[in-house]
Amino acid sequence: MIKRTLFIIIATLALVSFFLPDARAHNVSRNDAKFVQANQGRAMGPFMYLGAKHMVTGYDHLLFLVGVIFFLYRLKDVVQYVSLFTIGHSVTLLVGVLGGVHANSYIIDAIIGLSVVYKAFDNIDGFKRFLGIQPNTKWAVLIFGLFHGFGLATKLQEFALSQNGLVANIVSFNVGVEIGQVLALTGVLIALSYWRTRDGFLRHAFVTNTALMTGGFILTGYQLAGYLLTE
Amino acid sequence: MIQEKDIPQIAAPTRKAIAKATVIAAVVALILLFAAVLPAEYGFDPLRTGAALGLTELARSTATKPESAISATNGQPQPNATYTPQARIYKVDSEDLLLTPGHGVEFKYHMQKGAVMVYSWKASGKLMFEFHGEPDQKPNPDYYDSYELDDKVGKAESYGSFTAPSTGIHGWFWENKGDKNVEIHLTAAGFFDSAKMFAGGDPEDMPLEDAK
Repeated sequence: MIKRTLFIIIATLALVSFFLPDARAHNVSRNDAKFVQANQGRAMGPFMYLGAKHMVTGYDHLLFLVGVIFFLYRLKDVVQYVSLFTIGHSVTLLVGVLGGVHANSYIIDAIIGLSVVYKAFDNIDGFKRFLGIQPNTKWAVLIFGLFHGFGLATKLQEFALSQNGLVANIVSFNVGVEIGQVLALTGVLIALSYWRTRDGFLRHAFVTNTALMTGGFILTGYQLAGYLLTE
Repeated sequence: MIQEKDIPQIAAPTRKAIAKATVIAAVVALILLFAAVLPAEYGFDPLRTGAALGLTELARSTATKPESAISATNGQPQPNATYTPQARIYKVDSEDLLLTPGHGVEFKYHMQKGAVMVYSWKASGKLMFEFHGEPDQKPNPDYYDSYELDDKVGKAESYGSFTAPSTGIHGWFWENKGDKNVEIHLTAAGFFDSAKMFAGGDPEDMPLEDAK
């Protein structure tokens, strides 16, 4: 029990320190912000790059995807689930920015943290054991994808975007997000596939998902505290 | 890819194990949040662990950059010279700005190196901000000097005096991260050449008045 708790603390610290090298990694950085603000008209390349950069350095999206593909062994399944996530976040990214829907970014990011908790709890059979049913995993990925998209939208809305070429720029940002997602997923899949060939995988799967859940709780608490302390 | 037949069967965890894991995850998260994350990110330190580990410094060091404004000797601002004559009368300026949720605005004065201003700004809610300057001659297009930064908790007011360290534009970037509109009132007096506002589109020249 104590050994396991210690392991979780160490695994979580490793996870958090890996994903939190810069507290502002999650935001589009200041110089990028200047570019976005000064930009007039179409700039597909830069917006695509910013989308990809946001995804690769956005640890909350990555933690959720790790949870989603943790037990997906077939490439077909990975593609199916990741497509559902993509549809979900693309819809709200476009609707959010084009429709001018403003959500509080702390609340959205807290829900994104909870999506990590949800998926990790699901991975250790929490719902099956406690509710007696397995909530539809595809719907869950789609619905949480919608929240992740709102998170992406609030990041872009932090800047006064020029109306000039707005649609082209948002679509470019979205395409960049998908490119970043494929890049990050490739890395995660390679690591997971290798790990699965080792004996330790199943023995540590339970503990790893517990650590993932801890990471989700920390993200949620971090954002909720931000909401409460900065209002 | 691994073939389907290779997919191992996992013994389902017991309810007790799942409950224990969830509680451990939540407790570990709470400990790490209150002991490390909140002190480092927001300077919120109820357990005093942040002070013990030096983490609150992290929140504070990005919140202010004292070395550029305050001398190391006694913590008091030190003027570069007691008396600096100027060729022209100084300017006064008063601005009311409205920031809608999720938006930022930048307001800057063009000043010669060594020119002085006094300023006060007060807002109806907390804003993330950075008081910074861009020299006319800069080593690269993205270069800027940061004088005071708070992008963690934010402030609703700030008052001070300022001596331009370089000829260029000096002023504030404010950002409203909350979900309500915030009004800012800025008053400043000093040896300004001109003023510019950046709110999205092209920078806008703002009129300035001579002191009466």
